[in-house]
Amino acid sequence: MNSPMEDRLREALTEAGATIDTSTLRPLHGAQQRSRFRVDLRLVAVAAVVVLVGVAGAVGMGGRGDVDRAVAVSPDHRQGKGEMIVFLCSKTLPKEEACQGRDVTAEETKAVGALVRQLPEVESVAFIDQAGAYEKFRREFVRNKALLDGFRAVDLPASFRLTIRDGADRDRVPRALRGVAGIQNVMDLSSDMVADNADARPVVKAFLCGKEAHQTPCGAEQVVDGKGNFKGVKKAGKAATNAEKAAVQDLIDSLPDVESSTFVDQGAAYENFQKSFPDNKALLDSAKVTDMPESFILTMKPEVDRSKTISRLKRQPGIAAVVNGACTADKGLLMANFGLFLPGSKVCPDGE
Amino acid sequence: MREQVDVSVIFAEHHVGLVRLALIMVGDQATAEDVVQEAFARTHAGRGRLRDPGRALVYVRSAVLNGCRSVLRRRATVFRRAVPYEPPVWSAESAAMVTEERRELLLALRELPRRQREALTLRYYLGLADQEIAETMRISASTVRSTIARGLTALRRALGEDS
Repeated sequence: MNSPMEDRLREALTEAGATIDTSTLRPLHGAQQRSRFRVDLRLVAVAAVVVLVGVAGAVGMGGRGDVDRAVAVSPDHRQGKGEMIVFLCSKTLPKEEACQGRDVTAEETKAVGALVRQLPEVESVAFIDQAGAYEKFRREFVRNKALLDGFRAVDLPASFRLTIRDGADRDRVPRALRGVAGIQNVMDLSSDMVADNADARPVVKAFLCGKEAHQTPCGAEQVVDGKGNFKGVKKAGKAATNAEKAAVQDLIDSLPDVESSTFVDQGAAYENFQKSFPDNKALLDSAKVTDMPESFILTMKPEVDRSKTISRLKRQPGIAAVVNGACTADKGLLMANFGLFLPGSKVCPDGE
Repeated sequence: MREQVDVSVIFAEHHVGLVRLALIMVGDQATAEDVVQEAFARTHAGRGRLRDPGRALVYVRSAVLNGCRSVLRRRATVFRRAVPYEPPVWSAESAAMVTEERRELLLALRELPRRQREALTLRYYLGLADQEIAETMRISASTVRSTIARGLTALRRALGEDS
């Protein structure tokens, strides 16, 4: 009683499944290894997330922090209003396989424009050419001279900015645009990404070494692959001792460029974490209060060179990582609004 | 005394099968292996909380499906460039491995809404019964039936075979 379609589906799936090469199948890490590899990898994710939460939550950086937040964790709730940006090909982004290192042509631009305009989910469309993107870029990064010096208008991709109808299925848009010639990337800015709050002063966060720390400053030995990507931890590091914490506090109090500082314990960090991802159950399930790092949040005096403070903190025992909120925010902004994926060293010359 | 489920045994026994399931969902072996590893670690960590040992395999398959969903969602949005992405089994690059006609069918399957795609895969790849699919996907058995029926119709339409 099987229909031909059912049989064909069965055969096709079996054939696809059979393409697995069992000889190269990596074994699953068992329980023993898990405590070394898995947990530490999870901590990496949590630490990264907490950095962003801290940046967004602690000083109310509004839009900028939220940009990062959406980047850090794929948004589960995607029904909201908000823009979607279709970045077009630009030859200065040679690594993007979709573009193969060439600029979008005028015909392709026209075709993409016509295509997005007829999508039922799209309410309105605005085209931003390279000059327009550059103008926005200059306004946005007026304080980041290194970035301004490093980019010309032709380095930025042109884009279509789409306003999506309320209640529309946002996932359909990138699906409809998949594989269309001339499109580099489709970026979904979720609804809670509002205009950048220029008044907020980004903080610097100093994270303390936690139990089973994975960071090398805490004494951990990391496994790194050929490309320098973090793969796991060979030997876990040590948590900061009470004496070290006290010394960090003293150091912070003595730094001339720091205006004020707050200590965030694990409980407060976890609360921030929960508040920031109310809908992401998988993420919340993956972390406990004791997975959260302790940290100091530093408000810096205006117009100071942050690099001195940051490099001094990085040398202090018991500190796992130092994060420049300005840098994290700028990276997220570049990615979400300009289609540029840049390393911290390029975005933040005064320290990541 | 409560029975403890040794999830690691279930994973060891079903490892290849789970990777194949994930492969059909996400398209490439490397990502599929990651999804299964991830699900294994997560399930393993919570094994003491598994109330019903008899449902461990359902639980494990659910975890793998969930992992696949996250991968697909991430790919659809900002992570598209960050996730290493090998040519999927239904792409032209792997034509050597999967025949043209089947590739077309796999492509059509991939374009279906998530629920239909998952239900069809669980049914026609793993050969699960309605009730098992329902438990794995956490939907009702009647929804499974209607979803599969709609999925098959959609596939026929996509391949230009609806009569």
